[in-house]
Amino acid sequence: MSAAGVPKDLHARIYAETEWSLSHKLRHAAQSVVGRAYPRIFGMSREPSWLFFDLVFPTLGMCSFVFLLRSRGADEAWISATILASALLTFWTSVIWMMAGQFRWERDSGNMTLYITAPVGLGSIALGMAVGGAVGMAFRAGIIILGGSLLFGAQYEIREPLLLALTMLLGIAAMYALGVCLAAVFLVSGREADHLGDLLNEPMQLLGGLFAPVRSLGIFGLLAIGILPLAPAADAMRQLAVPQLAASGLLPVPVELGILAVMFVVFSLLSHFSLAFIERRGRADGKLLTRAD
Amino acid sequence: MESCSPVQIDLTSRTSRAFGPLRGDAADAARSLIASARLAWAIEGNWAEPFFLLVYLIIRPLAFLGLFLAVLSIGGTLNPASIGFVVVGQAVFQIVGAAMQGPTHALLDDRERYRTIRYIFATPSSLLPVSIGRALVKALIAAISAVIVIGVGALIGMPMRAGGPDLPLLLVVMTLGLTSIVGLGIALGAVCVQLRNDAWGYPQAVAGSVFLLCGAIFPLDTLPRALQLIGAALPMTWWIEGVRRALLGTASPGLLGELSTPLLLLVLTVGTVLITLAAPRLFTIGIDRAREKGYLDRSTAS
Amino acid sequence: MAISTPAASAAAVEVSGVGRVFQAKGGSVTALHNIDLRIEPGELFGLLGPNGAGKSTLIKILSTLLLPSSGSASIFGLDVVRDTARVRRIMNLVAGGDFSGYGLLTAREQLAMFAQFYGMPYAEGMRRVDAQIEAFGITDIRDRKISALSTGQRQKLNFARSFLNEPWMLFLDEPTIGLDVSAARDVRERVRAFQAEQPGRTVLLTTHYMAEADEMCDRIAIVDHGRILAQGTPTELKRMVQKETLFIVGVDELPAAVSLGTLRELPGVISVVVRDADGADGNGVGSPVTRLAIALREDAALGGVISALAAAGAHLREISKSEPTLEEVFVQLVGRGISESDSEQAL
Repeated sequence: MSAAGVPKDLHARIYAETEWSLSHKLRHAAQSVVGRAYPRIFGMSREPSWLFFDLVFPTLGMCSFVFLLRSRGADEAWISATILASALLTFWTSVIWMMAGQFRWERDSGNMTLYITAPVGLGSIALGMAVGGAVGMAFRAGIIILGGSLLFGAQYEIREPLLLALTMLLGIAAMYALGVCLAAVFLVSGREADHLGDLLNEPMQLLGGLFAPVRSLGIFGLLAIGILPLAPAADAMRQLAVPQLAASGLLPVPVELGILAVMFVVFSLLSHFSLAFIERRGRADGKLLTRAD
Repeated sequence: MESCSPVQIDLTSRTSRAFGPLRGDAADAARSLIASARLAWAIEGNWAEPFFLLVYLIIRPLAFLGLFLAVLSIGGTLNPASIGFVVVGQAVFQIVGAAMQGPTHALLDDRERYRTIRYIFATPSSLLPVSIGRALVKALIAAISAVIVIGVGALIGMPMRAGGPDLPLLLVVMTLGLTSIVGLGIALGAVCVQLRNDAWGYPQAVAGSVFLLCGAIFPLDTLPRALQLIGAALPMTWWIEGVRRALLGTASPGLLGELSTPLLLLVLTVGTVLITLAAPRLFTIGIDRAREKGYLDRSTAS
Repeated sequence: MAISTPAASAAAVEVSGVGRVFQAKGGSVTALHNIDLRIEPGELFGLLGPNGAGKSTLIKILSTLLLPSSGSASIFGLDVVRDTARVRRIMNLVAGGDFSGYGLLTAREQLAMFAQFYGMPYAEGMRRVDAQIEAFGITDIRDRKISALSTGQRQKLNFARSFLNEPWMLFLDEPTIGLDVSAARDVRERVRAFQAEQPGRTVLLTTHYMAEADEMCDRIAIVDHGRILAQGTPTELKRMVQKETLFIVGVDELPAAVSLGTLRELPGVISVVVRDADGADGNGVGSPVTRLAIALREDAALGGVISALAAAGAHLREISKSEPTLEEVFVQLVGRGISESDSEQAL
């Protein structure tokens, strides 16, 4: 049976619609990234309580570390470093909960079903999440640095601003790429994912040498700097923004930049494979990507 | 969607037997308290999950300790007194944080996750003993990690009191401290249950602020004067100092250390009594207000 | 891998021997058993069955969310396993009870976001967003946050989203579940209008609302326990449980000149019984009516019956054709009512 009026060239027309040129695919990928980044950049600013919590938690932690340092009479340069570390922490927290943990939320809210059935790749969605998350967090990090510096009189001496910017950029990019890989781990780990998120928080702050130099961790520090983007990023930024503390660095800045670049490439490749894996496995087992009915 | 395995527990049988001869409000409250404590034990413990135990009882508390000690070491070589100061503060604050957030999370869990608050509210039981029971169990579970932190502290050079801990002092300050923190916890719960958005985040924010103000990891004197005054008004400040004296045998450096132990106990007792008197009233007002506004049946998750 | 243009004779949906087994604790569960199905371009096809019948599993396979364990399926000749990317460019999906989206976005922003995902140029996407907002009559909520919308408004928005890419294949999985009567009617009308706008657009609807399936679908397949028990137009399905045509004829009074036996002997008449006598008319008022239930081999036989009654002096008051409902079809095929099936499922 066929409904009346169906055009004779229907199949040819439909097939033509499925033929996308390379430029179409590129434009679509770019639009999808922007589309997914939008709610993170603009939507989140509409919820004042989120902004409040995004700022209050790192600020409280920052104040605790600053007062701890002051109680020991530590060099004021460390206070500048602590403020910088708190700003970096906002990105790391967002990587844990807004990247690694996000796909579980997308699945449970039903969004993942729409992403999978749309002609958009999970890679574009993940990149949009990362771009939106990084831009949103950059605003919060800026407030923390400004507020912390005013509050505690912190000073920075940036001799190589481009290198510092590159370090920040590469560090953030590597962290978010790692976040996409972790998203697959979180999805597969089911109910354990919340515990995994907590495991990635304070323990990684310690291993990543965020508030104290990774150098003091000995062999663990070396290990961390090789696998955890937080470690080389924090170490290099401390050396670049607070030159008085350059001696506390584990490795020279160019080496740490190189490590971050390698991490970015490796984690990006891994995230590509992990996204392909979760889509393949999700379609095969029927539970990973869609809500249980 | 993530599913929660139902916790099946007979909430009436043993408590009914235990309080069989009792009659009236006190017996009802005691039954509610024990029943909710047993329920909380089943919910909060997650005893079947070794990964959960590993993360929350061992890894996270020790990671916090490691972070503080690492930062502490920036200011110079670590000495036993500094280690002891931070270890005890960090250990006790495990309990403070858990008990302070416990009632709010219990109320919000019951309201938004298990959706049972309306049924509890519809029974003759009061929400107050239910909340206290949940807070006590959370504090008890946190106490396990506090013991682990202190054990690790002892291994890395924390100086213990000569002749062992001052157990009577420890018992008194722990009882007073727990009472006050549970009181503050239930008052905070009654406030959060009235909030429109993101009620889950506020207890953590309050606990973080208290951590900053109560001299858990640095002496109170380090804070600006105004914050010192707020810190001195918190019973947790005196509680932690009391535990330090009971375990380490020495007073903290700075202002608090100059006070005698009896005076410290007096301040802690007065604070606890005031909180114990005020908290149930605040709780009742908060819950009534939430009921008036229809907040006992809503979701604040974003 | 390059694929060739599908044959012009390709079905909109072609399902061939599709089976699906889920691994679960304690063993495997077979959700679909060797399903065969063909839906022609332009059809609105319904899958009718209780919860757990396998309807949603089939839709998930066809909409590329799930891989079949066996068999093959294609959409307009494009294989749902091999040509996944192409299939996704011409289809869309709406599921009932769906609360997807981001609560902080406005309705218009949410649609705009999905327009980007569907691959149309930005300006064209925004034009379609505004057109769908208009078409669904939700201009009043276009700038309202998603978190502030009612269930009905969110589902209309969900439908508007699904129309953005003007899909040739639209999957509707229990789309009106949880909607009130008015909202459900609105979306059903929009679906029909959407199909009418462009001949060839095909809709596969799953539902366990009998009336919805009866009202909307060109053809229906009744599914239970992962098998298709019957398929056809609603009329064909009803014919399966009632071979004869049943008319209810109301007269003032059965004249003495004509007996039931006389009527039964007329050509094409199978049986005549008095359904009720002395009943009031349809409004419950007026003079008594005697209603005869007359089973005929074909509709044309009714003329002889009417003539015989008139010739005997009977005053004809009402006449109506009685048809079985899809519920009755379902009961006959499945052996239980759809609500009983759902209760079983719940247990």
